[in-house]
Amino acid sequence: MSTPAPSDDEALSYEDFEVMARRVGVDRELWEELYPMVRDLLGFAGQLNRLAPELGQEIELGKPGR
Amino acid sequence: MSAPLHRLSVTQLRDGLASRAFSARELVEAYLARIAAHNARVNGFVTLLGDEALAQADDADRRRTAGETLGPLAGIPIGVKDSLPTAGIRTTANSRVLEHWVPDHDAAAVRRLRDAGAILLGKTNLNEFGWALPSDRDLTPKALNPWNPDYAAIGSSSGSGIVVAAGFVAAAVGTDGGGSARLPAGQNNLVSIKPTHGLVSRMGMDDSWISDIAPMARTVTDTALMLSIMAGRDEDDWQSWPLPVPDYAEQLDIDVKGWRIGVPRRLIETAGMEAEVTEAFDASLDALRKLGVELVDIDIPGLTEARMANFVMLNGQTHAEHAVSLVRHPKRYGHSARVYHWMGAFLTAKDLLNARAVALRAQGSVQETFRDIRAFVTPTSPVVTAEAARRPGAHRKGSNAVFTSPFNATGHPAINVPSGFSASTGLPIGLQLVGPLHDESSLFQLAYALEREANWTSHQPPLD
Repeated sequence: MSTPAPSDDEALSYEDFEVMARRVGVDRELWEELYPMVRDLLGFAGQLNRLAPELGQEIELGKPGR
Repeated sequence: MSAPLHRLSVTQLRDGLASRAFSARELVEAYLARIAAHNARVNGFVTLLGDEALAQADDADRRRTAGETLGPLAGIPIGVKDSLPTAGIRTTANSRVLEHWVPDHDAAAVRRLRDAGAILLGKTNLNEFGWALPSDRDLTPKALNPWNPDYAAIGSSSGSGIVVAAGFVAAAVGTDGGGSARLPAGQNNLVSIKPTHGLVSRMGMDDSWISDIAPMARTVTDTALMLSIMAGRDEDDWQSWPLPVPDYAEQLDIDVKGWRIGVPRRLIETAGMEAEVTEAFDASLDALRKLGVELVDIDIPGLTEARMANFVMLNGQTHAEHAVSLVRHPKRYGHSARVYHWMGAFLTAKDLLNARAVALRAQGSVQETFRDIRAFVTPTSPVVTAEAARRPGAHRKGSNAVFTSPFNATGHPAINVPSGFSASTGLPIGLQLVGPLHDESSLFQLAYALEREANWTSHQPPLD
């Protein structure tokens, strides 16, 4: 699952959070409290990914020096 | 000396011990009496080492009497944050996860201080693992501010700030991964420097792109002395700083007239500053002008992004360290520590590497700024109280670290100096000076000039 985009209207939904929380194995009793914190954190990460876009892109086949 | 022992600085204690005005045993006994009288009000220590400290004091006194050559801190008690390992002494990080851990080694910086003769009087309180909201259900209850114990002490090196401000020791060691030493120094009328990343060996603490070990003391001279001892090459740490370290305390007294000092106005004006912090900051700018410093408005691109990058790296690294224990021993963590340490599980490798890339870009941007200025100045925190820093939605985003955390991401040295007091709470307010990579000397010199101009260090918390 990719990191959500940074803008508010694209912030992590609770449904997407639930999917991620099950995958990483977080105890369910923490979910309600953890959700807004993870939403904010992934919002930051999304903004940084826009600023440093070289990682996570398709590799240009045959491009030297990667 | 007429002042009580607990009010003396490290250099005053050093001189008093050398002249036999008092013994190391008398000094440790004076501190222990003060701790017995006041620590229960502020919870500065996780572990107090009274008997061990008295034995070390007797040894220092015996060696002094025998005419042996002693280190610069011989017989001087200090506190060390309980997240830093200490050989043969329980190190808990204020967590039940490590409740019974007794390391077989010192953190390198702690070993250097002990080799210089310092006596370890106690391990100091912190937020659990340095990344949680404190609670009275923690292994050691929540730390309170000695300047007004109605308020919590800001962290995460909260105990290290408390024990120095309260006069339980003359100096302490904290760690700083987003402001965790500078923020409690600011809230305790102390001086603390987060050195250039890597200047002080991090051997013994968790590996980190952003955290450093930081001295905390009541004066600029003491802090400079401590850093000179802590910094430099460590034989067991191939990443440690390989070059000679200056004697910072011997270089303090210079004229700073004509220095160009930057003021990042846009960053400051958009940080949500409380009025009392703005007032103290403006007064500090006036003090700088009186010193003949030329203040220039600057705009440093990338600081907001550096703060976000620091927050992403902090969460990624803290989760990685705890990922196994969180699953195997969840109930040994306090509730807040569990929540905080799970956040980073939701990040990807790409997120972390991009955060690192943004931080390095910001490092270049900040370093470029120093082509035209000697240092720049900000408040240390936009808010006065720990309660304001921890309000819902603020702490989880690191909002209170808006001025401190960018320089953990970029690695630049940054020092907190006292800047005044909040009239409404009685709590101290801090000022931050930021300098070029590996130019701690300029920061100490400017801080020393400010200290003499403003004289905030003569104030004492109202515990007595």
